[in-house]
Amino acid sequence: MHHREAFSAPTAALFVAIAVVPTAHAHASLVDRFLSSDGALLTGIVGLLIVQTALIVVLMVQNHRQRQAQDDTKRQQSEVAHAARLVLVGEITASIAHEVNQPLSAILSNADAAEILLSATPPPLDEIRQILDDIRRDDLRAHEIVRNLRKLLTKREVQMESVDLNEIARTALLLIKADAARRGIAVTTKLDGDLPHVQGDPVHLQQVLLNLIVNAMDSMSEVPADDRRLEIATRRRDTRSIEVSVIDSGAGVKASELSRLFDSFYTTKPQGMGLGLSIARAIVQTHGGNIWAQSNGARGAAFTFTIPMAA
Amino acid sequence: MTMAMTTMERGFKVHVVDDDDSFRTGLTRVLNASGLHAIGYRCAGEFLLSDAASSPGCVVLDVSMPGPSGIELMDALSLRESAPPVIFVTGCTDVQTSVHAMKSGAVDFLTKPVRTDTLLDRVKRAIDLDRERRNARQEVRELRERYESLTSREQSVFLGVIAGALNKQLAVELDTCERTIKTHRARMMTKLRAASLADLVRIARVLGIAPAETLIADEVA
Ligand SMILES: Nc1ncnc2c1ncn2[C@@H]1O[C@H](COP(=O)(O)OP(=O)(O)O)[C@@H](O)[C@H]1O
Ligand SMILES: [Mg+2]
Repeated sequence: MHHREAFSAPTAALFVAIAVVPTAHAHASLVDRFLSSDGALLTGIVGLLIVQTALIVVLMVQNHRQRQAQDDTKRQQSEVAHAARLVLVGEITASIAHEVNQPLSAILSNADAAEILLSATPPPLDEIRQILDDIRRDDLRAHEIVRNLRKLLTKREVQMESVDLNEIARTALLLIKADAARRGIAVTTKLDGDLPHVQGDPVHLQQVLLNLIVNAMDSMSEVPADDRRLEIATRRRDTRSIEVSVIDSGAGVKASELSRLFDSFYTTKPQGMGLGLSIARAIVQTHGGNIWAQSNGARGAAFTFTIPMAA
Repeated sequence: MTMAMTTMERGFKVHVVDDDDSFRTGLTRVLNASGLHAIGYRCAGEFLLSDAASSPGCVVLDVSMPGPSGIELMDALSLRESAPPVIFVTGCTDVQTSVHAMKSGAVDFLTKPVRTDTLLDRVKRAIDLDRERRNARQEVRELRERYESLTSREQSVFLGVIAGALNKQLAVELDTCERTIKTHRARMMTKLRAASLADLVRIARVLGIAPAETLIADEVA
């Protein structure tokens, strides 16, 4: 589809150029001819139309090239975003494994329990039915995680659709829950129950939020266990946009560093890549939103991004 | 699959502490179906507040929970003399936590997904261990009561005898005649329900009582 278009526009330009060349010598005296006779008038109009068409085609070709270049950068961007997503998933693998393991382990115990109960006389059928219900629910729960994981792992360009940012927050929470527990971090949410949907790419927005959460968790490694708090909040910022915040009680950011956080390859972590925030910013900007950081001295940082509401 | 539980497990409870509803329900269900008495708790605090933390049984504990973690609960329990043995459940990935768990006094640990036969086997062992510990503590309590029922004279004779002193030496030491020592010694043996010197030595060891140093020294001198 893409390729046929790419070849057809220049070809059309070539045809027009061939048609225009013979009439080009007549172009100079076009005004004279226009005034002299009916036949000349017709020739003049046809010539003018041809020139106009040629110009339009040239502009179209130019426009197409520009679009192609844009497509290329878009593709590159989505490839970088994809690579970063793989790294991100790597950082929360333990958490995801835990979240899958949990229902799988429950299914195993439940199946064994049902088998034991079946040999009772009479077997407690109501309880066994309840067990089967639970097995079904746990299977769906494991499936849900795997489905989300697969989405994060596949490569995709930004595809806009109607997105519930609360849903994005809940999924992010599900994926990092075990990791937060392991790190002794108390996670709370403040999700605005009456949040309008936005136009966005759910996977890329998920990536932005996960990035902010993982960063927030990283920032708390030196904080005493009792003081490790993370809050995820969504709310309407104004009539035009929705904001999502990730607030932590971590080490905070020095004022002098605030402007550099979003630069590519800026990192203060030994194993860090310094790409998370720069990619997050690119994604948010693609959505027509903004992202920024605020430091609360040594008592943590807050990262916020906005996404415009669907018009 | 069915490992029918014997009467040995009667009176013992299995406390399952895990914040995950599915996991906790599944585990308590299969334990109950197997003839054990299992109870679930959503968090470490809920378990600590119940009187379960000192009743006979064992604890199956998830290490990664929000709030006070499994390890912290473990630490709180280890301060109680009559705390039940703890079996840790970990995700297979956290080796570090498993090591920490064992160091903090867990008797065993299981990885998820938990296999039922392994679970039942470990739970049985933990309950056996709890029974042994309870019996041992009971014995100490009884022996201490008996020891405390001795008069101070009888206690001195006890200390002398386990240090290997002869009645004659004890008579000198306690400034009395050998006959009186013999009487004290007989009463002391009856009260402690001991039949021999070996019994007395064992009682002293269980109670953590050291033999009277002065008498040994005298003897050597
Ligand atoms: N919540 C936060 N609290 C403190 N510093 C942060 C926070 N989030 C990001 N930073 C800083 O910004 C840097 C860049 O973050 P990022 O682009 O995600 O890359 P990386 O996480 O690989 O270091 C981090 O190394 C850290 O110094
Ligand atoms: Mg990062």
